[in-house]
Amino acid sequence: MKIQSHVYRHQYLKQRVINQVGCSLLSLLFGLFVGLGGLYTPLVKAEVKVQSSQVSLEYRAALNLKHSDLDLSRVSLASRHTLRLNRQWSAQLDTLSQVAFSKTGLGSTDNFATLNQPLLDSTDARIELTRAFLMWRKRGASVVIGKQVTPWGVLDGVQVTDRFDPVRRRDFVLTDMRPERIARWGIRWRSKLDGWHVDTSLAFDGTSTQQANIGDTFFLSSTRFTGGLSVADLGLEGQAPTVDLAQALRIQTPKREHTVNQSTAGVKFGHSLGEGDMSVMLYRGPDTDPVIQLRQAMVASLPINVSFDYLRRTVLGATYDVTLGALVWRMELAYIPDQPLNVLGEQPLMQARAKRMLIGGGVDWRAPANWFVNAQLVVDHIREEELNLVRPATDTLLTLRAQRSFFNERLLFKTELIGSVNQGDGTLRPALVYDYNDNLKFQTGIDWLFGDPNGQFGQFKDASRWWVSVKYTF
Amino acid sequence: MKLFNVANLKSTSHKRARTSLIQISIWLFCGLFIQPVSAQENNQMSALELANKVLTRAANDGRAGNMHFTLHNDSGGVRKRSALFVHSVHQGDTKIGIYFTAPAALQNTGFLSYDKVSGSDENWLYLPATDRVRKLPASSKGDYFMGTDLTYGDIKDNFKFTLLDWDFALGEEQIVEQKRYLVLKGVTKSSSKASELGYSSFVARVDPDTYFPLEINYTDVDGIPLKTISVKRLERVSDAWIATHFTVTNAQLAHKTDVVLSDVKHVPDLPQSILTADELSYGVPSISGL
Repeated sequence: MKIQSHVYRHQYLKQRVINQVGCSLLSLLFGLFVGLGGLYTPLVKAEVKVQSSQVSLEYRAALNLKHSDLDLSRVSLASRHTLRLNRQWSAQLDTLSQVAFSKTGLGSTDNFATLNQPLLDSTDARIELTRAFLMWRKRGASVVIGKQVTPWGVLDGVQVTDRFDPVRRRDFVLTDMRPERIARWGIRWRSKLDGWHVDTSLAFDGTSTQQANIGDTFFLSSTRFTGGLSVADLGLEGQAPTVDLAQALRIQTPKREHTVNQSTAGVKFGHSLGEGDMSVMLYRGPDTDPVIQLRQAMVASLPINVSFDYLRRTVLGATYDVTLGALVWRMELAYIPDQPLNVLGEQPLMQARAKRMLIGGGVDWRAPANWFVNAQLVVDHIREEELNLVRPATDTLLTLRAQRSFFNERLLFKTELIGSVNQGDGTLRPALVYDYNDNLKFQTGIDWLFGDPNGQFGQFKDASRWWVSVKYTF
Repeated sequence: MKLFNVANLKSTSHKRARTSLIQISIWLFCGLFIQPVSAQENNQMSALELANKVLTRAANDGRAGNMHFTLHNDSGGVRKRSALFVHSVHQGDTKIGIYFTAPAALQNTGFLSYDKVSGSDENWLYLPATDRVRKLPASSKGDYFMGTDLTYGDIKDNFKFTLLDWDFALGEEQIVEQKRYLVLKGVTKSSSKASELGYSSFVARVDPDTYFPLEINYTDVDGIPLKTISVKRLERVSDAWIATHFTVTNAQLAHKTDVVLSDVKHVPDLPQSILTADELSYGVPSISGL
């Protein structure tokens, strides 16, 4: 196994030329697509109409259960507009504007490609274009060009094969919808060929998964996410990590500008199999999670300079889901032959590549008395050989969700347990959702985190919270 | 309560309406002499024959339209849902697609059910927030649909009573607003069937001209009155009668759902590709005339 101490390298001139040519070609293609769409539309008929329009305003706050501090205070204004240009052409434009207070944070955008940077960004406010694409459709075939997502996989909220898109982790996994995908600029083509569903996608946008900023509530501090660096390494032992972390740790993220090198490309084939549906897929692109590299030698009493690298890897995946009576069974398998990761070695933050296998299974059950139950188990194994991993070689993740609605679906109770079986940590998330009317919705719940303070979930055990949300949609 | 609004029937039904008026005139003229003859004719039809007439009532193999639900609760709260529905029967398999257009929070949410003659039934749901079409466990017929007072069974059965589910009996004929109606009664064949359907019995007032039940009273699995479905307007679309306005009143929850269908069209050449799971993610399908 080759251990790389310095993975991120300067780009050679040749690569720069390839990138520039690639970028130019894609821009030209996008321009042609938009231009042709624009020309074609009035030729056919001026039938442009707003197909759907949705705007929602939400305020969400959370109170820390340990310190009674306000850990989350965020206002979000989201809009979604879809336009039907004519029988074949449509467009979608989504925006997200947010204002955050206290330790909420809006998440890092250092690892966003320039094309994908927020339209407006400040410490407490941000406006983003979350979707922007043109779609052409005819007889089961579609081409989508623009800022979009590629949601592959069949499991619910756990990522086995569903690793094409970067996601938001600024709130860890404590969101209403999981994962919260980040759209990227690209092209996607879907078609049906002789009973096969073919789905190809190219994202020429190097944006990767969004993390919480240093000092924010859900900044990752477990050594499995810090490449093995501990609080002691940062000289902060005995202190609240969030207080001086920003001074002790300097994170640089290499610019995400390399259209070709940082692109993600993949293809998926789907077909019915027996009573169910199967798919196989192959894609290659930057890992959604970073490996950390030491930028300068560590010197006592000076900040540690690190960079977050999102190295390319290949994912081979397969899925199967089937309905059997009151149950739906789902299975996923992913094999990553070149998973980039941090390992413990002679120097801090060493990097390596290893073979990684993920296998997951899940079941949905429409239980008696109108209960809906979903259970999933995922095993994530890294073939360690001589490597000294910063995480267990085998992780086992369990998710268990139960929900029931009352009063003609006016009130919904749901509860979710997400936990690491091998490390004994996790989160329990009971919540109530009340639809006051068609526009106004109230939500409240508890995110209780437990386990070892250095565990995947236990690292946030002091961030357990009670949250409330008011959302108005029109 | 006016159960059958003759004036609202389309032109094709006017002839039937005129026939009914002539029949009423004859009844009025002949008085009691006609009644025994009519009763004798009805006795010739057994309960099973009537149930079969209702079951085999003409239906369109493909249809689409807009549906509007108004949900009333006991404290006066009102919620509204609008959706495009597409219904298709192909080689005995039934597919129903429902694409929500209102309220804004539900826009572009799509639901597809696929009832197969053989094999497990399948359901899919597309929620725009998840960006993904999700396979769901097939709903039990007794499960309630999207917060309405209709069960999935009510929607799938389309005002018909499956012969395998019920034991039938004839009730005494009823005359409402000088029109004679047949009465069909049903009791579920087993307690497990009652649990599956959410009903243990029903009494239906059936229009003898259309074999369409205009009022159905259901009891729950314990035999306690549960809900009443009242048809307010029938329309003929192609060869089939469609209830385009009906209410469902749940006596136990004091909750009512008002359902209005508009722009209902017979779409005989409905492309099978429209009602597929993949298609749900594209949002509301484009169907000519809707």
